[in-house]
Amino acid sequence: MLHLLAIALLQPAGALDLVVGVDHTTRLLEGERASAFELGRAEVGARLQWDFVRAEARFETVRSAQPQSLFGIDGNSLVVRARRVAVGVEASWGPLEVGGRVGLLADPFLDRVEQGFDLRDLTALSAQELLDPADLGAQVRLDAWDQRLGVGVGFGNGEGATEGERNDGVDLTAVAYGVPWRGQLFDAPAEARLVAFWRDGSRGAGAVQSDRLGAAATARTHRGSIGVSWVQAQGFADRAQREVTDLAAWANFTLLPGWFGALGQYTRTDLDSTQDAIRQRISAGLYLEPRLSGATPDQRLRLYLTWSRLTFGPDAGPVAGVPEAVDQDILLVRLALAHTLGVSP
Amino acid sequence: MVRWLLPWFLLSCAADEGDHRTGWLHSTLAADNRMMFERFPQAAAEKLAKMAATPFDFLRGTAAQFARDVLEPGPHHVRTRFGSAAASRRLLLGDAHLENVGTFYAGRVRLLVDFNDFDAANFGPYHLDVWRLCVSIGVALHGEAQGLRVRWMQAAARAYAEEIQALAEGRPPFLADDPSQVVLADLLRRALRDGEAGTELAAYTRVVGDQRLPFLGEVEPPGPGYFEDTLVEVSPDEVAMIRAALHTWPTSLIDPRVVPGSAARVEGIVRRLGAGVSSYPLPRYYVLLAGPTPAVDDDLLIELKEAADPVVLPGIEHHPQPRFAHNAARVVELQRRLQAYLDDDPLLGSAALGTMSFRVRAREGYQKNLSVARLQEKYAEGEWTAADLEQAFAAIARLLARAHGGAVGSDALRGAPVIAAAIGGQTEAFAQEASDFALVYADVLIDDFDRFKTLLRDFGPWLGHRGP
Repeated sequence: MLHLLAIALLQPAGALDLVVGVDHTTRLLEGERASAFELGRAEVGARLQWDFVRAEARFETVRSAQPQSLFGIDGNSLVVRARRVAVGVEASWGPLEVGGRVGLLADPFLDRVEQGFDLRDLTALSAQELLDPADLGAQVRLDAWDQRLGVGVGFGNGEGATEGERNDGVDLTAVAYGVPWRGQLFDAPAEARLVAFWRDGSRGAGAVQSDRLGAAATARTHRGSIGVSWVQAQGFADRAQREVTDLAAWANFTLLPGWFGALGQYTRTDLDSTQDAIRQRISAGLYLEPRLSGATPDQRLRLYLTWSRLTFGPDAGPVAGVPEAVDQDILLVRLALAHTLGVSP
Repeated sequence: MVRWLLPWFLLSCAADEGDHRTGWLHSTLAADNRMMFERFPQAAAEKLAKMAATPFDFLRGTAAQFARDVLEPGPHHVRTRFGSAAASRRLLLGDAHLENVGTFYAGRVRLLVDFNDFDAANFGPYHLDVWRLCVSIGVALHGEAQGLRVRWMQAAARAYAEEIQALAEGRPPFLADDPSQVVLADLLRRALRDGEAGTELAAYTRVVGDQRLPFLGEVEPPGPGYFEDTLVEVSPDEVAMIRAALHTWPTSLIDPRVVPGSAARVEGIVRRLGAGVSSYPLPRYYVLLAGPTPAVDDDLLIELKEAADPVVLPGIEHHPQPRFAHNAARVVELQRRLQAYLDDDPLLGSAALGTMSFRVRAREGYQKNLSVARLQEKYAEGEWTAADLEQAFAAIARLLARAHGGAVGSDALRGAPVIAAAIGGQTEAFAQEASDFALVYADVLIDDFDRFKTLLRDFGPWLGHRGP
């Protein structure tokens, strides 16, 4: 049935993606403990490929109330919102490939790093706190030698997926990327990627400076991934003078294919370079990955069991001088399903 | 650090970032008032005009900026030495300042002074309220000598700490009903006078023949670009909405018997313009209800004000998050927990209809607000001395301590022992810390006031907000 629907919608070629994560989260703070079932993630997307035309639409669920708001839409319902909606073109001449797209576009840095990040169905990249996952605008790219090297430039309104234009500024992003190694590992294709970017931007009615600089190195096989990323923000939370640095490292490896694997993550975010505002998060966990008949690497079911320790420096938490108010342990059980359904003409 | 990497022609794509603080103020004020800009554009412009009237009005309209400054990393994210995890989960007023203080005729037996605005009531670190109260003292009397302002701020913070300690030791809570306190006694005296004379009914209604009807028109002349106290007609849709919502009001009262059965008869509804600063644009209705007898003397005047979300306290999380049926239920529930008596205002309740919810309260002469303008005037005239003001600020801080100390926080613990443990008996150091912060921040706020007026001039009455 799904195939028929996809064929009807996506002629002549394309794919449907589905990512679902259902959680039970327990948070342990000094004097507080809370457990809750949550829909950690629900995302559906469709990609269309028609000659030189490419299109993508992805939708996700979010809670409708803003932070500390009692109510959103019909209480605090889970509502569907656009995560990315884009249409573009691609063309190639010999080893060169060019492309351009417009719409609600994925952040070009996050997009590239996520390609080397195997835990997307568990957690977002920590750099996402400093970068909107998508922005309204246009992007062009030039790749060479099967994307061994590439550069891209993007223009956006700088307000992310949640706001319309609020000032006259245009965010400009430049990204460069490469694949320094591509080969076989554990009898399967593997590759290492490098990506770097910078952005000159502004945000809000006050056109507050919102510049970014970052780089990442990742490696991925079908058995797992490893990576590091670094992003520096000049201007954050409407404060132009605030300098924030996010450093993250992650690794996961399927120890016994078809059975289970292990993962670890570490994030260190300096929330203000002028204060002792370091926030650190260390996570470790296991995942069970039952072998599904006929499953491809893009079709998997995982049960994650993770523990995270979140700690704050004296000035990192909301109550300066009282980090223990927000230091916490988080136990997460997530059942995650990721499925990509390809459709040919 | 990033910027030097960019060629000059790329820099030209960015908007002019100007002064950092001005940009922050511009962006945050536009974001915080966005709902108002889009729902009530004219009233939102009037709100900003009112905020530009005096530094204290500006303070009243910038509770969210204060919360950001104190709770987010930045130059005013100042460490407290008197905090703890538990002390960060207290029930707060959320916007403790001098003009959120007023009188109540509690249970119709005791006239007292208490806090009276709980729109921002929420859970968070207790010192946020203490510091905000001290800042409000610093802004209200900004023209006075620094030493004097420090003395007043420290008197308040010291009194707060002493009262918390007393409550933690099981001593009875402080009640501000003492006529020997010059400033608060003046408030009590005027409230008694106006309550007995029924001045609110007289101001907002008129007797025509044998019937009392709502007044329409100016009760006070408007200010430059905003209303002060004007009553206007409501639409038939608004009348229908208010009548329907009022059906839910009696069940929300602490004692439904205080409302006579005949009060179900609505004699008239008008909309009040010009009240408040932060909540200025929100619909506020005065509803005249028939009293228990056919005589016009016992008619009741109540106010329905739309309840909105509280001021966001950035980074503050609670697990689990306290939940309420609607925002008016939150305001009413937390007001009762924070006030001296459950029936400070016996008519306090909520009325809801669909997604709209209203806080309902009595509109009577017994409820009279502390006025910073009057305080400044009396002090300038020499009628009230520095010692009188010190005594008043200390009393108000004791009220704050009583509110915090008696209320249960998001962790189900009573406030007084938790806060007393956090202060640890270091009353003088606590007072010093509060005044150190408040002295600096009051100056920042005065400078922000000037920045704000420049923004209004440069970007217009909606600060350059772009509609949907």
